[in-house]
Amino acid sequence: MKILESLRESAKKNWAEFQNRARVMVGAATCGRAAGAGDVIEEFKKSLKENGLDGKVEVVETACIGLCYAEPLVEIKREGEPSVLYSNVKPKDVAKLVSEHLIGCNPVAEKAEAVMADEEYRGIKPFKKHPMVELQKRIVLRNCGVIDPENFEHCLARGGYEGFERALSMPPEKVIEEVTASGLRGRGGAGFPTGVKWGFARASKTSPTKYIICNADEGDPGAFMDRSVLEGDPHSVLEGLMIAGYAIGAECAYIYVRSEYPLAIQRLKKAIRQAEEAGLLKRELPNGFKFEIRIKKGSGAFVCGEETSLMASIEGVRAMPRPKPPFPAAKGLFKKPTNINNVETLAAVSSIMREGAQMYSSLGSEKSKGTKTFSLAGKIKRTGLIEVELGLKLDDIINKIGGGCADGKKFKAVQTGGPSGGCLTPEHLSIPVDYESLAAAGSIIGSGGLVVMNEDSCMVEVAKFFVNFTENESCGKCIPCRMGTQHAHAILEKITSGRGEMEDIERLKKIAFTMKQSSLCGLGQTAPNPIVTTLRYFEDEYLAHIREKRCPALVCPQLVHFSVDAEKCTGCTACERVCPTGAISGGVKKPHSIDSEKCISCGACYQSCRFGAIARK
Amino acid sequence: MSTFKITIDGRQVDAEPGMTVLQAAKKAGIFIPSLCAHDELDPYGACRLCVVEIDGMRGTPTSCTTPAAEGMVVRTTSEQLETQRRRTIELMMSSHPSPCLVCDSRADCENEKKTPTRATSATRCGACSNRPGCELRKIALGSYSRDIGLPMIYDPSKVERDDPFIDKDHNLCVLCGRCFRVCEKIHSKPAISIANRGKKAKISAAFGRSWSSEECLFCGACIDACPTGCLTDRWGKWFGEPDKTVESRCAMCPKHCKIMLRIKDGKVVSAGMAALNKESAICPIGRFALPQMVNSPRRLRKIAVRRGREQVPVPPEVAVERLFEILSQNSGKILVISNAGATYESRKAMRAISGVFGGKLVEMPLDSDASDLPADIAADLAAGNYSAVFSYGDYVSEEAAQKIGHLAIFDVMKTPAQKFAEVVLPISAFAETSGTLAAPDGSKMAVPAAVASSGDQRPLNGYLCDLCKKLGVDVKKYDFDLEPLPADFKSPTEDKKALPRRVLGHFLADYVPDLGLLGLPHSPKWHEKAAAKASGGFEILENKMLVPNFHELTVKAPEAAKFARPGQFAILMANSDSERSPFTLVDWNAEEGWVKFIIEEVGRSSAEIGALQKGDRLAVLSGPLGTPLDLGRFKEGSKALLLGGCYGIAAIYPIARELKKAGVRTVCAIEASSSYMLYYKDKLASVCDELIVSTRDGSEGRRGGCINVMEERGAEFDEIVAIGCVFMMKQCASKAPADGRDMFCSLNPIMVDGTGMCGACRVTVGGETKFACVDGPFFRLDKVDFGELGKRRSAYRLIEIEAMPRHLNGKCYRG
Repeated sequence: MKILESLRESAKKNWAEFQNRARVMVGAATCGRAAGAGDVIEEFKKSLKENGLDGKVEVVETACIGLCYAEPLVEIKREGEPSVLYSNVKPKDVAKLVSEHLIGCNPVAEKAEAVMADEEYRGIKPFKKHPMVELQKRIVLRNCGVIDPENFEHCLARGGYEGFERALSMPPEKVIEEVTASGLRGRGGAGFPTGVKWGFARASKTSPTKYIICNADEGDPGAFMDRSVLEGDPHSVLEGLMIAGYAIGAECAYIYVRSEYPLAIQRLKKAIRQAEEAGLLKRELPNGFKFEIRIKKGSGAFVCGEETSLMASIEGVRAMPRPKPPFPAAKGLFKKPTNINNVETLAAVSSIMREGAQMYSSLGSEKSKGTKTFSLAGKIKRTGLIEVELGLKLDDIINKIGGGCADGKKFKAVQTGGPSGGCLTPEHLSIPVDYESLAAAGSIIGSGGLVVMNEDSCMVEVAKFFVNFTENESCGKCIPCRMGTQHAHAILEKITSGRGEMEDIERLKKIAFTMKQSSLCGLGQTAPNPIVTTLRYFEDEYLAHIREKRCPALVCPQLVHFSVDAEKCTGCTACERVCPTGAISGGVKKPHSIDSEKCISCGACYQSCRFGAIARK
Repeated sequence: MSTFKITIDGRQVDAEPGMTVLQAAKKAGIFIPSLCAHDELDPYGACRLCVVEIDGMRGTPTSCTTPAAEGMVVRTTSEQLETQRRRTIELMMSSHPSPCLVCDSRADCENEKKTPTRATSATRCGACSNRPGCELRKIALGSYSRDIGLPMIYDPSKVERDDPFIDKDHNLCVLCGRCFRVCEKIHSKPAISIANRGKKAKISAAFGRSWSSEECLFCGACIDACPTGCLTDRWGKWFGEPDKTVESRCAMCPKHCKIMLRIKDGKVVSAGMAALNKESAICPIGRFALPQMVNSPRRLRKIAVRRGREQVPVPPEVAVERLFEILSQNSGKILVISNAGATYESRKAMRAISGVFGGKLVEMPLDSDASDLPADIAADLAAGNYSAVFSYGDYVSEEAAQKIGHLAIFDVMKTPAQKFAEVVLPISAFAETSGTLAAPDGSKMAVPAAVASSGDQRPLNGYLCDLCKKLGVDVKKYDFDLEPLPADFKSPTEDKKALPRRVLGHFLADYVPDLGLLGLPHSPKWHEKAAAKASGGFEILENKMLVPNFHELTVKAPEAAKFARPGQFAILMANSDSERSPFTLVDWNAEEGWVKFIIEEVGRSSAEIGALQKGDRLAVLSGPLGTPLDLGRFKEGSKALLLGGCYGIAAIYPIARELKKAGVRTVCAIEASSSYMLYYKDKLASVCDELIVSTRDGSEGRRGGCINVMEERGAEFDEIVAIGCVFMMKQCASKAPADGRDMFCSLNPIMVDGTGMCGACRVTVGGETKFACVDGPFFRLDKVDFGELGKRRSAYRLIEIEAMPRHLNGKCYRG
């Protein structure tokens, strides 16, 4: 069924023309803006005007291409030449880029990260060969950072809504079959086969009114996959929703997105309006299908990512999980059959329907098909957003794509799956990253957050951080989660402050067991995972804290003692000036000393010393 | 509906469609522990106790939320399930004041103290009004967990008493959600819910406001639903489990709702709903005000008839005879004030009496007072135009009463006007009266009496029947139709503004001051009384709550401070009409002119004193009283053991201080239920050579109590003094060295004058009768008859419960 034929034709023409035009494209997703993309854009506009290029060279805002560590990212293209991607562009660099590259036709080599072409260009390596990109397989992220996400024509030209059109030409059951055949599994964390889930909702006879919900309440610390997709390619999510709605027989969709994502909301709103204007929404299509998409802003409770809480929140009542059964497919939103999918799942659906199940199922490992996006965060060299085939080795992700730990430090662990997940260690680097292998190692893929820890990370502290997070985010409904997180946090606090006893390890294990077995929802059941895995792989660190009252990573303030190495100390007084308690004395050009009575082990001196004269132990 | 079979623990049991596994098990008599589940509420799944194993289902689903399905195979016990439940209970108990549950002496202590201490904060089961009915306690004791292995979490700021009728001690809350679920079920739009997340999660009205400022209608269903002592009826909670529940009709407004009256020892102690649903909703008048009115200390109990200038008590026949005379002699000049709230039978008789004697009849609405009398009647009354008046209720003012030749008052309460009446007749209150009331459609509805009347009280119709018989009146002739509920009637169960404000001429808020917080008016007289502020007395310099229920009160009393000696006490009264209670002097300063007491809140009097704030005045402080401890007997270099529990922790302080001065080697041992109840540690440590701390739950110091210290180390000491509750001293006595060495305890029985005159403080020591106030308070620990002491101390239990404050200062009485 071709609904957008005429629109698409002109879109393709305009896209081809756009691609060829001289332009400056700035990555202005939330990550880029945080890195200062806004100022860079202003500076470019100013500089182009000064050089009389305004009107000739367009400044375009795109989204995140994934190289967050190198932001602000700017692509500069001259007509007839390949486009060059520059990294870490500061406003002060703009004048040079304009004069040398745009006017002088001389790409600025020292700032160039890659060239957006298949071949090397003037010594600049192609983007596809970039170490962070080479091993990626971008399906969900195919448009992110490539198109102007607010330009509907860009989306159409690159195949947007082709999958929906194809789905409409099939009976809904066939659509479900196709998605099932693709092997796509829920990307929100649970990994349930998407097609099977749709089948349940389609088969549900509880009510003729059904709902489809897009779960965009991404709340894991260190996870930003959904945000990037929503900011970079909102139409792919809308398309996925329409396909899902058609497949299960829903006429209304909700996108539950957290209000901490204002840019995503703004772009979603615009995309919905574009789809409505194009006649895709709120209008009966030739085969009688009519669909509507609404946005519901969440208020930042982590538990709203849990599907029953999320539905309660949309209904306007307190967001607390409820037990299943009944499952949402039977009784969901407003007690009607409901299907909930994650942002990434829906975005993948649009590609699957456009290119066929075979394309997707040919990727990935035996039981984990397709690709998965991951956000690389923590102490890794190349932080950012990636998409890889499932089954790629953890080593490839951490060391090849991510470039290993920053500053040449030693890789110690990676937390996968956020506060619900667990940590993996150097010995796991050889395992393939898929649902089964990570579960076997005691962790989960989760929504795709990878937080890397190096030798400077205290694993007890890491466990405490995540438990503190779940303690504050527990809705409080069920006892194991509410009380378990409180006690676990208190015990970890006790251990990190040097008051731990050996019995505390047993207590932690007991609490973890109770929470895992008895909690009502996934939040509580998985909240002890960071404790369980750190205890499993880093028990020695716990023991060092408890028995030797020592923090091996020198992180826990109460267990770290600072002193001045008199031989290295130059008497610059830098440490004396930053010490908040006046514990350091010495005087100009004389070796300083630290009064251990007054020292609170905040570490300010250690960071301020340029001569490595502050010793920690 | 077709039933089907499921298998639970190997047994085939019947289940019906729509049933949960828990319901099916319950029906088959199979017990699965649960807290948040409630027969009348939808599944919730929060407490996680009812976990089971079901073939084909992952993990351990909760039976309260899992629908039963044909052929299901369920196991309710297994090692894993038991472990899960025990651990969940341990987690629950760690945030619920549970030292009693893990205390080694629990059974003995509860045997000694059969009813819980009437404390303000429920710091343990022994101070919790819901000890007899607590579902958590039953479950916790079932899977007996001696060591929860987790620190106790207790926060004194979680006790809220700022709302009418309902005490909220959030320390006891397990967030089972029953309260707000029942609220939602009954009122559709719930007044309360859970606010905040995680450890801050708490049952609350919107934005943490008081419930009375929100949608809450004070139907009290949440109290009935609460499985712990978190939500309680401030007044009715201390009576304990009711003996029976009787269905009745509330007669406090024309709606005549069905209510379930809970009866304990022949008294209506509270009222509940017939079912937890919208149709059965009742209002705060029915639930809270009715029991408080019926049990009011201001109830009229004695018949009185004027003889000359005196009113004298007479038997009912004599009173009826006098009524007969009045009627016969004043025919045509009689006013009968009847009440629409009376039973059909009484109203008919009132009509008959006024009809026969050509009197004027006025039938006042139930919710009315004297100011609502029709203008002409009020004018005639004021002018003294009636020679005889029969009034049911408080409708005749004191001024008017003095102008009436023959005034007969029938009433449930005492009123000032009654002293001018010729005949005063105490009437049974609603729950004490059987009779006919109007159903909403005007049809007749028989209501039986729920409890017997006390004193001379009789139902109004009782007197009237006798009178009519005497008069030979055929009451049948005065039959009338009962009024249906008006179409525009606003139900107080749906609107706080529609609550009845008065009954039989009395302002409800005068008797149930909490109603004032709901906007109900007081009578003008009440305001006059409230405005009269007490002067004189002793100024409170400071009131510090050391631990929950324990106040350190510093009072300006220069004379007492001048003469105080260690071990002495003083008798304190918060108000001039309070009970007299003795409190040990724990510190004093003659130069600065102050004395200090530790006030432990255990009932009305101590709660009133505990509520006094800096600048307030204590009406009475008489002391120092009692014989000081003979310090001369403690020799320099000798060894003394001072044992303290509860208020005794502070009471041993002045003794230790003096002993230290005297060069006695002193060891202080103190005990508390849990770490959050320990106080004075530093203070004691500064005046003794060794401080031994014990807690009953082992949360601080050694696990156990002073009894263990006595047992292990008692023989080391030349002198021993034990001060604490009766149980603690009794325990210490049981393990004391039996070699006749010196050992003392300080007794604290009920006292009145404190100077040896009344005999209330009688105790038996070594077979001899002694008076604690003058012979004591110190007696030989090994000689005291503690059994008798305990019994005497609880002799006034019921009266003490009835006297529990209906309200204090319109706010919580925390320190």
